[in-house]
Amino acid sequence: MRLTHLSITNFKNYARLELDLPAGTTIVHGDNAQGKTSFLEAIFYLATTRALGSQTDAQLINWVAQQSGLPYARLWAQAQPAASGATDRAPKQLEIIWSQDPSPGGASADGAARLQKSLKLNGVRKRALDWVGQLAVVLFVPADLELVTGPPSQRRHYLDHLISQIDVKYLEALHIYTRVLLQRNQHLKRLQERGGPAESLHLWDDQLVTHGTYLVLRRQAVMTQLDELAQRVHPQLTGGRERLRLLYRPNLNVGQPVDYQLPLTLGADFSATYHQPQLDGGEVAAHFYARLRDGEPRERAQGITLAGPHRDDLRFLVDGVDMNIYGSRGQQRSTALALKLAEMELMHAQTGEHPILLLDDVLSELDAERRRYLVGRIDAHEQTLLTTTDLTQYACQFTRPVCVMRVREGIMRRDEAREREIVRDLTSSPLSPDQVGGEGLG
Amino acid sequence: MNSIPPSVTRLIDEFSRLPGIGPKTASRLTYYLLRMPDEQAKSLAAALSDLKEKTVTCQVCFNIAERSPCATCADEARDHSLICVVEEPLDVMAIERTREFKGTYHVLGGAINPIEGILPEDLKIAELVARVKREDIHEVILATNPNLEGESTAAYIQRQLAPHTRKVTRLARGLPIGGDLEYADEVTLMRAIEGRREM
Repeated sequence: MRLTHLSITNFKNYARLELDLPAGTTIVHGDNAQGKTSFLEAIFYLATTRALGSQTDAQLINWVAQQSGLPYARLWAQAQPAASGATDRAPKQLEIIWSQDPSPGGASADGAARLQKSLKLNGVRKRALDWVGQLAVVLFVPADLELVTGPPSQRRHYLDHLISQIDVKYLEALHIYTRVLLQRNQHLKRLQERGGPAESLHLWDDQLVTHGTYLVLRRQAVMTQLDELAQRVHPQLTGGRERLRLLYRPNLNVGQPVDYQLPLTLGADFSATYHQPQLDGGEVAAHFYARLRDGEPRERAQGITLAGPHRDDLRFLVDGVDMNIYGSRGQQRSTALALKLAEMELMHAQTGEHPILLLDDVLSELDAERRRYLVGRIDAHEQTLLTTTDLTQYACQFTRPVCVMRVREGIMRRDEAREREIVRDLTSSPLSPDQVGGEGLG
Repeated sequence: MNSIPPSVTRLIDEFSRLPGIGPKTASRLTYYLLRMPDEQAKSLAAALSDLKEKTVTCQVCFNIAERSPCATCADEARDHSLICVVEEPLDVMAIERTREFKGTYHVLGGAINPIEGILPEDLKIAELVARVKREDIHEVILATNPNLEGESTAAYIQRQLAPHTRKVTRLARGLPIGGDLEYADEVTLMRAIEGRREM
């Protein structure tokens, strides 16, 4: 899959942008706060219908347009599915429009306009659910490191978004599960306040178990796949010195207790010790029911549901050592990168399309060895869009033609003069270490 | 500064409390009423006070009625061994419009929804169980809404009634009449396949 044209109106830094995008690599450079990340965010939004951070839609609209009193914004892109493999090869047009709600109650209490968002695929209006999987992207940002170092909730969210992009049923199950969980937790709180018969609490259990079990099984299947893919990528990032495992640690771990803290074991044979749990739907459901039944006194005391996939976690082990706790910065970075590269392979395996890669100022964080590997992958990829403040770090790294764009105050211009610097003249000498720099291996 | 008479602002405030009506619509309605002929305004006021004075909740089915038991519950021609359980009085009207249903009703007063502070004991579920035990009921039809809360409520009532009645049924779910298969969402279509019938 690749984008052939992108049109942006009143989105973040951009008042207006019309851009034809070539295949291969496009590098967007410019100073801070000029619109580099906004450019990637526009594409990310078109693919996933969500913002990068926790911004509301109104905050995405260009602030000049907001003051003009007629908030209107639009993202439009044309995408061309790959020539091989895909059955549906016609180009697709994806469009997202925000406009002011025309109804009389269209303004909220603070006077700000309420926005209506509509999604259109090839000019036909679609629901958010039907949007899933239309445009596959993988986003690399420096904050990916937090997937390794951060709390379990970030890893769960990451996995949820990833699976939702390839499986609509997962998205629906997640939606219902979240709602049932909220109802059940509120039910527990009301029981705490007023007392009363506890048996009514279990009226939520059937739906919680049905949808929760689906989440557990899908998460397990996807993590098993990611684990295999990451095991192939990781040695190339680390010179084959270390072995990475990505493990799913379900809260409903049938048969064995959850190992919240893994022992520090070093040794080559660790992979035999840590299996992905092989779960069976019937067993998970039975275990889930049992946990809900047995946990009732504690749940009533604490006022929350204590068992279920909303308390799952993922474990990233390098040579058997838990990266979340014991990893060095360098190891954590390689782990995060391996995870994202595995995600890219997974999307390809699941959809038959190479996802579009979006990299937001990622290379500056990497050392020479890993940077060279990543650039090699990008160089060979169908379409990549990356941003940087410093073009020199890409000097002579690419073998295929690269399109360089310079962005200033929301205006983008082709920068052909710099394009030759980026592409490696195969006759010239290999890179000297001081050209690439970066931090040492962890 | 405040030149609006208190009797006018009071009505505006009262209107603002209604669902779907904001301060602007409330003042528009109020000034419309001010210009209305006297007898029309009086008739509206009478209708409003009758609404509260002359209506009661039927003690059998808990629908809104002018007397208890209500006309439906008192109707000898209807099948009293058949109860249709609905969430709100408006649902009764919807089913009555079909002219297909000849049994009686039971209005729960909502669905179990702890987020809104509604637990099973806030609904007329215990009353339904008592009614089923007391009367000779052959079938209870659960006609709560096909959303998360409605489904959970139906499942809960089914469990409560199971020991006391012969038959508990749930409204069928599936494709709308005049609909297009192509545009049906996956969940609805899945349910329609599950609930298919021999022809």
